[in-house]
Amino acid sequence: MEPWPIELTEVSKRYGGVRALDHVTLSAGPGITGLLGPNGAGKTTLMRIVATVLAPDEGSVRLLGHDLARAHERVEVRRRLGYMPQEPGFYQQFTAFEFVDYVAILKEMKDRSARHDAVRRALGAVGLEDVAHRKVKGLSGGMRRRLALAQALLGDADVLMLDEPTAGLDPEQRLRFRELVSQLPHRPAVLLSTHQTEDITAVCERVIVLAGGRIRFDGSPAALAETATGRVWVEQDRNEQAVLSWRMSDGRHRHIGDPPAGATIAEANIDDAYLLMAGVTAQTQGAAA
Amino acid sequence: MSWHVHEDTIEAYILGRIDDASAFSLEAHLLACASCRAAISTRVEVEGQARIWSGIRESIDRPRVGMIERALIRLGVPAHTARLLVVTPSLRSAWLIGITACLAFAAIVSSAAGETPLPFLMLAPLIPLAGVAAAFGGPVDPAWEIGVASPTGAFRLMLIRAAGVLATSAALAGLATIASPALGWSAAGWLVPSLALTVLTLVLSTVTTSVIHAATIVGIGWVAGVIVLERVASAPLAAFGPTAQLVSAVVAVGSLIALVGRRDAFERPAHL
Amino acid sequence: MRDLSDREATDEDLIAALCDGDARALRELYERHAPWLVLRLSRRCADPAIVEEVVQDTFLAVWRGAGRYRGQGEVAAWIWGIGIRRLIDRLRRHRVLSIRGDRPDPEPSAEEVVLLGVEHGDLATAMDRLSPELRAVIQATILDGLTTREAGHLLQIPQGTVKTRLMRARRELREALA
Repeated sequence: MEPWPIELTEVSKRYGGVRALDHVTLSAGPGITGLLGPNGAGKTTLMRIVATVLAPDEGSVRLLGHDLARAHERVEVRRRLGYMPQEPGFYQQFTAFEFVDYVAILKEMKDRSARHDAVRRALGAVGLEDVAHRKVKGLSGGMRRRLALAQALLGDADVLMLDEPTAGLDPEQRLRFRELVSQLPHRPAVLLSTHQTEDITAVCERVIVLAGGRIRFDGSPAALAETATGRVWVEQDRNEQAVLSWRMSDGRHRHIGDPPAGATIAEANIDDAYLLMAGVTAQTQGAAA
Repeated sequence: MSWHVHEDTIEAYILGRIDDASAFSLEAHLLACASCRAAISTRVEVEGQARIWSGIRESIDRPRVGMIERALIRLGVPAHTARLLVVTPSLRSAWLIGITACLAFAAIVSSAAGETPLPFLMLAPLIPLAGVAAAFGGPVDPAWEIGVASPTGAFRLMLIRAAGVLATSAALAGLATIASPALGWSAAGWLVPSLALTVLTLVLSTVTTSVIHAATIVGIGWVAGVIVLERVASAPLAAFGPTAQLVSAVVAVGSLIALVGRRDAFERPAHL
Repeated sequence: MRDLSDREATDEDLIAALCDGDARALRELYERHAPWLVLRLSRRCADPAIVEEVVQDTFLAVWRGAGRYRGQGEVAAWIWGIGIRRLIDRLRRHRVLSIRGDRPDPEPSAEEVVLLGVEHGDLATAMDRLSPELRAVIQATILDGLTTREAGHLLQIPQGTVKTRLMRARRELREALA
């Protein structure tokens, strides 16, 4: 059987006393896998480890069949990897074109005219060809995120690691982004981290919920929504027994948790399920501390 | 504009079968009339138009090459490697002007002191050290994480840039040595120590996790060492004598071996 | 982002977009202005390779120098000014003898710039009587707006000759129209 493009086995990472990742085992791709979790859940640590930039304390990571612990296999992987970091930095004095060209050089594209073609394609894919020659410092926040995405798309990577790619995008740009990622012609293995459930329902075939450094759920977005079935109800007033409750536009309150007898059960959606999972994690962690 | 060139005239102009008078008339009119220009553009795909455009496209896409980058390419550095070097802050002109001023100052002070070129010799090796400190480390290279995840990798990127910084610093310090004959030949004694200090800093940075910290420690150690030796030793410039040069060379080679051994600390660090 | 939903953008809008580094605006300008520029330059230089090179240089100059366009007159005239001067520079660098303008095949008529738009008339007949050399000088100085010195480079004759031919052409035209 073909190995999974992305395979993690018992991966752990600590920062001082904090366990950022706690024995995480997962395999992913091809297609788009969403990594959903609140801030501090360990998403970025996981993304960095898979993107080959951070060494785990324990466990093994294999990408495209290569073991990341070995230097020469890592280089092989990096030739076929596109990585959009959470907070990508830019050389302000470069134009958009020059920046992507620079990354293309890092990706060992030595022939100038072939490289420039690849750069134009990547900028075209994210709709930045109009501003290709504008300096990075003159680009808006949304354009910079698209620029970061363009460098990740260079050379049709087989594994795409996109860390919070939709953060800071306006609704229209977010739609465009989802369209772009879900229509990549060569169908790479994409691991996309986000804290927005809409990104998951819009583009992901599979979702992994990470909270407190552990995997809380792994399955389809629909299956994630189902985990909250029977645990969502609506009442006029706030019920303190609920894990979480919030006021809706009609003035009533939506609750998630263990419903009291006779409660009006509402249909669960992915938000409920995610909040329930994250909320329960927060509670148990609070109790443990 | 109400008057327009007749279609037949445009056709004749395109085909080059037109008398001079009509051509003059049409050419003068074209400059002022967008619709007659459009009549030409829509009618004719001038031979080579696509070829000319792709030439324009390639020229405007070609990244602007600055003075330093051009100099590097002329010295035989491949264009793509030169590109990786130009983003190094310590290879930009402001930095180079700064270190030239420092070196000039040190050379003047040393020449004026008259006896030994000690201030110059003490300062020169610190210059590549500071250059390397400014060339690496998270806040200095904003796209560092992307660089680590690339097949070029952080280690090679670091070596390329360190070599660039060392070479330019050495070239400038060398020029200062030649330009100040008063310093004498002993002034060339900075070369091996500067290599040793730079490589040592890079090795140390894998432990301190910050190149700036490593460079500070090594720099202070160097200055203190030179001053102590100068006080204790019987002959002047003991820190640059034959024995000291040999020690420096051993440190340089040892550090280089250690650096290659610590390669993974650059390639896939345990901390970001 | 500035909306350049084509056709509606004026040349001036496109020039402004160039200052923002918009390569698509350059493409649009190129599509609008390259065809006539190629044709017009080809009437002044018979070597297509040189014309191609000059057109390419012209649009690169437009791209890099868009900031220098200050809304003075037509964009087309500005582009032409760059193009014809690039051609002259190019011809000066490499002495090329294939210049149109002193062709041996004289064609029927010619017109003075002030009367352009009038396709036939006394002036046309008058110009018709001018020698091709005199007509070429009229074209370079009056129509193309070159200085006598630049015209000399384009036609590859000394500046003094341009001046004397221009005087002679004017005198002949005045006499013919009197």
